[in-house]
Amino acid sequence: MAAVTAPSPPAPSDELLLERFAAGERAALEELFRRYRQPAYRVAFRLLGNEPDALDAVQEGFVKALTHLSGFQGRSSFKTWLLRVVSNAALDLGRQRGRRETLSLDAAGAADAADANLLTPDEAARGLERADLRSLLDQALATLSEAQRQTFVLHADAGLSYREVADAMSVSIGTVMSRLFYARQKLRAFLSQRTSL
Amino acid sequence: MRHDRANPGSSPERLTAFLDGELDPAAAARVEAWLADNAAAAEEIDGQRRVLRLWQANPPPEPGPAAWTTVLSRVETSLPAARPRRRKWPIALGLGAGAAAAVFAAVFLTRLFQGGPPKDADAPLPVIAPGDVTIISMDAPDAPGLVVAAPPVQEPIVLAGQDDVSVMDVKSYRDDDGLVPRIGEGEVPMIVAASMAPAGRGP
Repeated sequence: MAAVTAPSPPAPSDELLLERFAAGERAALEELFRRYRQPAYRVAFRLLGNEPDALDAVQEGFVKALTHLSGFQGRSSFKTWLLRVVSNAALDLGRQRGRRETLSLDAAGAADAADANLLTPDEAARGLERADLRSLLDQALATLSEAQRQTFVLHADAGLSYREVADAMSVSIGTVMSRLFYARQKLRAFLSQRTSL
Repeated sequence: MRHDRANPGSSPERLTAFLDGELDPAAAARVEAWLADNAAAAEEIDGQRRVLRLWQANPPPEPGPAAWTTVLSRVETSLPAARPRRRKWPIALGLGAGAAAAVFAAVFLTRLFQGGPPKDADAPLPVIAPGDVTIISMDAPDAPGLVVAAPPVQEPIVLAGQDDVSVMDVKSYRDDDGLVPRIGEGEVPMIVAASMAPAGRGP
Protein backbone atom coordinates (compact mmCIF):
# COMPACT_ATOMS: atom_id res chain seq x y z
CA MET A 1 0.00 0.00 0.00
CA ALA A 2 1.49 3.29 -1.09
CA ALA A 3 2.00 5.91 1.54
CA VAL A 4 0.05 9.07 1.01
CA THR A 5 1.65 12.31 2.01
CA ALA A 6 -0.60 15.25 2.63
CA PRO A 7 0.62 18.33 0.79
CA SER A 8 2.10 20.88 3.12
CA PRO A 9 0.17 24.15 3.29
CA PRO A 10 1.62 26.95 1.17
CA ALA A 11 3.94 29.30 2.96
CA PRO A 12 2.22 32.51 3.99
CA SER A 13 2.93 35.47 1.73
CA ASP A 14 5.05 38.36 2.92
CA GLU A 15 1.96 40.55 2.88
CA LEU A 16 0.13 38.19 5.22
CA LEU A 17 3.13 37.99 7.52
CA LEU A 18 3.36 41.76 7.62
CA GLU A 19 -0.31 41.99 8.54
CA ARG A 20 0.23 39.49 11.32
CA PHE A 21 3.31 41.36 12.45
CA ALA A 22 1.32 44.60 12.55
CA ALA A 23 -1.21 42.80 14.72
CA GLY A 24 1.57 41.96 17.15
CA GLU A 25 2.18 38.33 16.20
CA ARG A 26 5.74 37.49 17.17
CA ALA A 27 5.90 34.38 15.01
CA ALA A 28 5.31 36.49 11.90
CA LEU A 29 8.40 38.55 12.63
CA GLU A 30 10.43 35.40 13.20
CA GLU A 31 9.30 33.99 9.85
CA LEU A 32 10.12 37.21 7.99
CA PHE A 33 13.51 37.29 9.68
CA ARG A 34 14.22 33.65 8.86
CA ARG A 35 13.11 34.18 5.27
CA TYR A 36 15.35 37.15 4.48
CA ARG A 37 18.17 37.16 6.99
CA GLN A 38 20.59 35.36 4.66
CA PRO A 39 20.36 37.63 1.60
CA ALA A 40 20.37 40.64 3.91
CA TYR A 41 23.48 39.37 5.67
CA ARG A 42 25.29 38.53 2.44
CA VAL A 43 24.70 42.01 1.10
CA ALA A 44 25.81 43.61 4.35
CA PHE A 45 28.88 41.40 4.66
CA ARG A 46 30.04 42.19 1.14
CA LEU A 47 29.65 45.91 1.81
CA LEU A 48 31.29 45.85 5.24
CA GLY A 49 33.68 42.93 5.11
CA ASN A 50 33.19 41.48 8.58
CA GLU A 51 30.54 39.57 10.47
CA PRO A 52 29.91 41.85 13.48
CA ASP A 53 29.34 44.93 11.36
CA ALA A 54 27.26 42.96 8.88
CA LEU A 55 25.02 41.67 11.66
CA ASP A 56 24.64 45.21 13.00
CA ALA A 57 23.54 46.36 9.55
CA VAL A 58 21.07 43.48 9.27
CA GLN A 59 19.62 44.35 12.66
CA GLU A 60 19.34 48.04 11.81
CA GLY A 61 17.92 47.22 8.40
CA PHE A 62 15.15 45.00 9.76
CA VAL A 63 14.20 47.57 12.38
CA LYS A 64 14.10 50.42 9.88
CA ALA A 65 12.33 48.43 7.21
CA LEU A 66 9.62 47.32 9.63
CA THR A 67 9.14 50.74 11.20
CA HIS A 68 8.86 52.50 7.84
CA LEU A 69 6.65 50.06 6.00
CA SER A 70 4.76 52.90 4.36
CA GLY A 71 7.93 53.60 2.39
CA PHE A 72 7.54 50.53 0.23
CA GLN A 73 3.93 49.43 0.27
CA GLY A 74 2.44 49.40 -3.19
CA ARG A 75 5.77 50.10 -4.85
CA SER A 76 7.90 47.00 -4.44
CA SER A 77 8.14 43.73 -2.58
CA PHE A 78 9.11 43.55 1.07
CA LYS A 79 12.30 41.75 0.07
CA THR A 80 13.32 44.57 -2.25
CA TRP A 81 12.44 47.16 0.38
CA LEU A 82 14.34 45.32 3.10
CA LEU A 83 17.46 44.86 0.99
CA ARG A 84 17.40 48.48 -0.01
CA VAL A 85 17.30 49.51 3.64
CA VAL A 86 19.92 46.96 4.71
CA SER A 87 22.33 47.95 1.95
CA ASN A 88 21.89 51.62 2.77
CA ALA A 89 22.42 50.85 6.45
CA ALA A 90 25.58 48.94 5.59
CA LEU A 91 26.95 51.79 3.50
CA ASP A 92 26.14 54.26 6.29
CA LEU A 93 27.80 52.03 8.83
CA GLY A 94 30.84 51.67 6.58
CA ARG A 95 31.12 55.43 6.35
CA GLN A 96 30.72 55.90 10.09
CA ARG A 97 33.27 53.29 10.99
CA GLY A 98 35.61 54.20 8.18
CA ARG A 99 35.93 50.61 7.21
CA ARG A 100 35.65 50.91 3.46
CA GLU A 101 37.66 54.06 3.28
CA THR A 102 40.45 52.37 5.15
CA LEU A 103 40.22 49.39 2.88
CA SER A 104 40.37 51.57 -0.21
CA LEU A 105 43.43 53.36 1.04
CA ASP A 106 44.99 50.08 2.00
CA ALA A 107 44.08 48.45 -1.27
CA ALA A 108 47.16 49.70 -3.04
CA GLY A 109 49.46 48.38 -0.37
CA ALA A 110 47.60 45.13 -0.13
CA ALA A 111 47.70 44.84 -3.86
CA ASP A 112 51.47 45.15 -3.80
CA ALA A 113 51.59 42.34 -1.30
CA ALA A 114 49.25 40.30 -3.43
CA ASP A 115 51.40 40.97 -6.49
CA ALA A 116 54.25 39.26 -4.73
CA ASN A 117 52.16 36.20 -4.28
CA LEU A 118 49.92 35.97 -7.30
CA LEU A 119 46.91 33.75 -6.99
CA THR A 120 46.30 31.41 -9.86
CA PRO A 121 43.02 29.70 -10.74
CA ASP A 122 44.71 26.41 -9.89
CA GLU A 123 45.46 27.66 -6.41
CA ALA A 124 41.92 28.87 -6.08
CA ALA A 125 40.65 25.54 -7.31
CA ARG A 126 42.83 23.74 -4.80
CA GLY A 127 41.19 25.75 -2.08
CA LEU A 128 43.72 28.48 -1.66
CA GLU A 129 43.13 30.00 1.72
CA ARG A 130 39.53 30.99 1.42
CA ALA A 131 40.03 33.97 3.66
CA ASP A 132 42.79 35.27 1.39
CA LEU A 133 40.61 34.89 -1.65
CA ARG A 134 37.71 36.57 0.10
CA SER A 135 40.00 39.39 1.11
CA LEU A 136 41.06 39.83 -2.50
CA LEU A 137 37.43 39.93 -3.64
CA ASP A 138 36.83 42.45 -0.89
CA GLN A 139 39.62 44.66 -2.17
CA ALA A 140 38.30 44.36 -5.70
CA LEU A 141 34.85 45.46 -4.53
CA ALA A 142 36.39 48.45 -2.77
CA THR A 143 37.63 49.76 -6.12
CA LEU A 144 34.04 50.31 -7.27
CA SER A 145 32.04 53.45 -6.71
CA GLU A 146 29.43 53.20 -3.98
CA ALA A 147 26.58 53.03 -6.50
CA GLN A 148 28.33 50.31 -8.52
CA ARG A 149 29.11 48.37 -5.35
CA GLN A 150 25.52 48.47 -4.11
CA THR A 151 24.14 47.55 -7.53
CA PHE A 152 26.54 44.67 -8.02
CA VAL A 153 26.02 43.20 -4.55
CA LEU A 154 22.23 43.43 -4.69
CA HIS A 155 22.30 41.54 -7.98
CA ALA A 156 25.11 39.06 -7.36
CA ASP A 157 24.66 38.30 -3.66
CA ALA A 158 20.99 38.95 -2.97
CA GLY A 159 19.86 37.57 -6.30
CA LEU A 160 17.66 40.54 -7.13
CA SER A 161 16.59 40.89 -10.76
CA TYR A 162 17.46 43.99 -12.77
CA ARG A 163 13.94 45.28 -12.11
CA GLU A 164 14.20 44.65 -8.37
CA VAL A 165 17.60 46.36 -8.14
CA ALA A 166 16.17 49.28 -10.10
CA ASP A 167 13.27 49.51 -7.65
CA ALA A 168 15.58 49.23 -4.66
CA MET A 169 17.87 51.98 -5.90
CA SER A 170 15.27 54.17 -7.57
CA VAL A 171 17.06 54.11 -10.92
CA SER A 172 16.17 52.77 -14.36
CA ILE A 173 16.80 49.19 -15.43
CA GLY A 174 19.21 50.51 -18.06
CA THR A 175 21.22 52.21 -15.36
CA VAL A 176 21.36 48.99 -13.37
CA MET A 177 22.58 47.00 -16.37
CA SER A 178 25.12 49.62 -17.27
CA ARG A 179 26.42 49.78 -13.71
CA LEU A 180 26.70 46.01 -13.63
CA PHE A 181 28.79 45.98 -16.78
CA TYR A 182 31.24 48.58 -15.55
CA ALA A 183 31.35 47.05 -12.07
CA ARG A 184 32.26 43.66 -13.51
CA GLN A 185 34.77 45.28 -15.82
CA LYS A 186 36.52 46.92 -12.86
CA LEU A 187 36.44 43.74 -10.79
CA ARG A 188 37.93 41.82 -13.66
CA ALA A 189 40.64 44.42 -14.22
CA PHE A 190 41.60 44.33 -10.53
CA LEU A 191 41.51 40.56 -10.18
CA SER A 192 43.22 39.79 -13.47
CA GLN A 193 46.24 41.80 -12.31
CA ARG A 194 46.50 39.72 -9.17
CA THR A 195 45.51 36.31 -10.44
CA SER A 196 45.70 34.64 -13.78
CA LEU A 197 41.95 34.84 -13.90
CA MET B 1 22.77 57.53 -25.61
CA ARG B 2 21.96 55.65 -28.80
CA HIS B 3 23.21 52.16 -29.38
CA ASP B 4 23.91 50.54 -32.70
CA ARG B 5 21.76 47.42 -32.95
CA ALA B 6 24.37 45.77 -35.18
CA ASN B 7 27.14 46.63 -32.75
CA PRO B 8 26.44 45.15 -29.29
CA GLY B 9 29.76 46.54 -28.13
CA SER B 10 28.20 49.98 -28.10
CA SER B 11 25.73 48.81 -25.47
CA PRO B 12 27.06 47.73 -22.09
CA GLU B 13 23.46 46.96 -21.13
CA ARG B 14 23.18 44.39 -23.91
CA LEU B 15 26.49 42.78 -22.99
CA THR B 16 25.34 42.55 -19.38
CA ALA B 17 22.11 40.88 -20.43
CA PHE B 18 24.07 38.53 -22.69
CA LEU B 19 26.39 37.52 -19.87
CA ASP B 20 23.45 36.92 -17.53
CA GLY B 21 21.58 34.86 -20.11
CA GLU B 22 18.77 37.40 -20.22
CA LEU B 23 18.70 37.92 -24.00
CA ASP B 24 16.30 36.06 -26.24
CA PRO B 25 17.97 33.49 -28.53
CA ALA B 26 18.03 35.76 -31.59
CA ALA B 27 19.58 38.68 -29.72
CA ALA B 28 22.07 36.38 -28.01
CA ALA B 29 23.08 34.95 -31.40
CA ARG B 30 23.73 38.47 -32.69
CA VAL B 31 25.99 39.23 -29.73
CA GLU B 32 27.82 35.93 -30.16
CA ALA B 33 28.39 36.67 -33.84
CA TRP B 34 29.72 40.09 -32.96
CA LEU B 35 32.01 38.69 -30.28
CA ALA B 36 33.39 36.17 -32.76
CA ASP B 37 34.78 39.09 -34.73
CA ASN B 38 35.93 41.08 -31.71
CA ALA B 39 38.54 39.18 -29.78
CA ALA B 40 39.12 41.88 -27.17
CA ALA B 41 35.43 42.11 -26.33
CA ALA B 42 35.14 38.32 -26.24
CA GLU B 43 38.05 38.18 -23.82
CA GLU B 44 36.42 40.84 -21.65
CA ILE B 45 33.15 38.94 -21.50
CA ASP B 46 34.93 35.66 -20.73
CA GLY B 47 36.88 37.42 -17.98
CA GLN B 48 33.71 38.84 -16.48
CA ARG B 49 32.14 35.39 -16.58
CA ARG B 50 35.10 33.99 -14.62
CA VAL B 51 34.83 36.81 -12.10
CA LEU B 52 31.19 35.95 -11.49
CA ARG B 53 32.03 32.27 -11.02
CA LEU B 54 34.76 33.15 -8.57
CA TRP B 55 32.42 35.50 -6.75
CA GLN B 56 29.65 32.93 -6.42
CA ALA B 57 32.12 30.27 -5.30
CA ASN B 58 33.22 32.44 -2.38
CA PRO B 59 30.13 33.54 -0.47
CA PRO B 60 30.48 35.27 2.90
CA PRO B 61 30.88 32.92 5.86
CA GLU B 62 27.53 32.23 7.51
CA PRO B 63 26.96 33.31 11.09
CA GLY B 64 26.12 30.64 13.65
CA PRO B 65 22.63 30.04 15.10
CA ALA B 66 23.50 31.94 18.27
CA ALA B 67 24.35 35.05 16.26
CA TRP B 68 21.01 34.92 14.46
CA THR B 69 19.16 34.49 17.73
CA THR B 70 20.92 37.53 19.16
CA VAL B 71 20.12 39.67 16.13
CA LEU B 72 16.46 38.64 16.12
CA SER B 73 16.23 39.38 19.81
CA ARG B 74 17.71 42.85 19.27
CA VAL B 75 15.33 43.53 16.41
CA GLU B 76 12.38 42.59 18.63
CA THR B 77 13.69 44.78 21.42
CA SER B 78 14.15 47.74 19.12
CA LEU B 79 10.80 47.52 17.40
CA PRO B 80 8.26 48.65 20.03
CA ALA B 81 10.00 51.95 20.61
CA ALA B 82 10.55 52.45 16.91
CA ARG B 83 7.03 51.52 15.82
CA PRO B 84 4.90 54.59 16.34
CA ARG B 85 1.27 54.16 15.36
CA ARG B 86 0.41 57.81 15.22
CA ARG B 87 0.65 59.47 11.87
CA LYS B 88 3.56 61.81 11.54
CA TRP B 89 4.44 64.64 9.29
CA PRO B 90 7.46 63.38 7.47
CA ILE B 91 10.62 65.23 8.30
CA ALA B 92 11.20 66.24 4.69
CA LEU B 93 8.02 68.27 4.65
CA GLY B 94 8.12 69.08 8.29
CA LEU B 95 11.44 70.87 8.27
CA GLY B 96 10.68 73.13 5.36
CA ALA B 97 6.99 73.66 5.97
CA GLY B 98 7.39 73.69 9.73
CA ALA B 99 10.04 76.35 9.72
CA ALA B 100 8.08 78.51 7.31
CA ALA B 101 4.89 77.93 9.27
CA ALA B 102 6.62 78.86 12.51
CA VAL B 103 7.67 82.22 11.16
CA PHE B 104 4.27 82.73 9.59
CA ALA B 105 2.44 81.79 12.76
CA ALA B 106 4.68 83.87 14.99
CA VAL B 107 4.19 87.02 12.99
CA PHE B 108 0.53 86.42 12.22
CA LEU B 109 -0.54 85.36 15.69
CA THR B 110 1.41 88.13 17.35
CA ARG B 111 -0.49 90.65 15.32
CA LEU B 112 -3.76 88.80 15.79
CA PHE B 113 -3.51 88.77 19.56
CA GLN B 114 -2.54 92.39 19.58
CA GLY B 115 -6.12 92.94 18.46
CA GLY B 116 -7.75 93.64 15.10
CA PRO B 117 -6.39 92.96 11.68
CA PRO B 118 -2.74 93.45 10.82
CA LYS B 119 -1.99 97.13 10.49
CA ASP B 120 -0.29 96.70 7.16
CA ALA B 121 -1.71 93.66 5.46
CA ASP B 122 0.40 94.18 2.34
CA ALA B 123 3.70 94.33 4.17
CA PRO B 124 5.71 91.25 3.20
CA LEU B 125 6.51 88.79 5.97
CA PRO B 126 10.12 87.74 6.31
CA VAL B 127 11.18 84.25 5.22
CA ILE B 128 13.84 82.51 7.24
CA ALA B 129 17.20 81.77 5.72
CA PRO B 130 18.95 78.36 6.00
CA GLY B 131 21.26 79.69 8.69
CA ASP B 132 18.29 80.62 10.88
CA VAL B 133 17.45 77.00 11.71
CA THR B 134 19.38 74.69 13.96
CA ILE B 135 18.22 71.11 14.44
CA ILE B 136 18.84 70.40 18.10
CA SER B 137 17.56 66.87 18.27
CA MET B 138 15.74 64.29 16.22
CA ASP B 139 14.30 60.84 16.82
CA ALA B 140 16.64 58.24 15.36
CA PRO B 141 13.87 56.57 13.30
CA ASP B 142 13.19 59.92 11.61
CA ALA B 143 16.79 60.48 10.55
CA PRO B 144 16.51 58.51 7.26
CA GLY B 145 13.74 60.84 6.18
CA LEU B 146 15.81 63.99 6.69
CA VAL B 147 16.14 65.99 3.50
CA VAL B 148 18.08 69.22 3.54
CA ALA B 149 17.07 71.62 0.82
CA ALA B 150 16.30 75.23 0.09
CA PRO B 151 13.00 76.47 1.56
CA PRO B 152 10.09 76.18 -0.87
CA VAL B 153 9.40 79.91 -0.69
CA GLN B 154 12.37 82.19 -1.24
CA GLU B 155 10.56 85.50 -1.46
CA PRO B 156 8.98 87.39 1.42
CA ILE B 157 5.41 86.20 1.99
CA VAL B 158 2.41 88.44 1.44
CA LEU B 159 -0.82 87.44 3.09
CA ALA B 160 -3.81 87.04 0.82
CA GLY B 161 -7.11 88.40 1.97
CA GLN B 162 -10.34 86.44 1.84
CA ASP B 163 -11.35 88.16 -1.38
CA ASP B 164 -8.11 87.28 -3.06
CA VAL B 165 -8.70 83.53 -3.06
CA SER B 166 -11.55 81.44 -4.37
CA VAL B 167 -11.56 77.66 -4.10
CA MET B 168 -12.46 76.17 -7.49
CA ASP B 169 -12.09 72.52 -6.63
CA VAL B 170 -10.89 70.26 -3.83
CA LYS B 171 -9.05 67.05 -4.61
CA SER B 172 -7.93 64.33 -2.28
CA TYR B 173 -4.48 62.80 -2.57
CA ARG B 174 -3.22 59.31 -2.04
CA ASP B 175 -1.86 59.48 1.42
CA ASP B 176 -0.41 56.00 1.73
CA ASP B 177 3.11 57.31 1.32
CA GLY B 178 2.77 59.44 4.42
CA LEU B 179 3.66 62.63 2.56
CA VAL B 180 0.25 64.25 2.89
CA PRO B 181 -0.85 65.07 6.43
CA ARG B 182 -4.34 63.88 7.23
CA ILE B 183 -6.79 66.56 8.24
CA GLY B 184 -8.66 65.41 11.29
CA GLU B 185 -12.29 65.93 12.08
CA GLY B 186 -12.99 69.46 13.19
CA GLU B 187 -9.68 70.76 11.83
CA VAL B 188 -9.74 73.53 9.23
CA PRO B 189 -7.27 73.35 6.35
CA MET B 190 -5.35 76.58 5.78
CA ILE B 191 -4.24 77.97 2.46
CA VAL B 192 -1.10 80.08 2.33
CA ALA B 193 -0.44 81.95 -0.91
CA ALA B 194 2.96 83.38 -1.70
CA SER B 195 3.35 86.31 -4.01
CA MET B 196 6.25 86.51 -6.42
CA ALA B 197 5.99 90.30 -6.32
CA PRO B 198 7.10 91.34 -2.84
CA ALA B 199 5.28 94.65 -2.91
CA GLY B 200 1.92 93.46 -4.20
CA ARG B 201 -0.79 90.95 -3.44
CA GLY B 202 -0.97 87.52 -4.98
CA PRO B 203 -3.21 86.79 -7.93
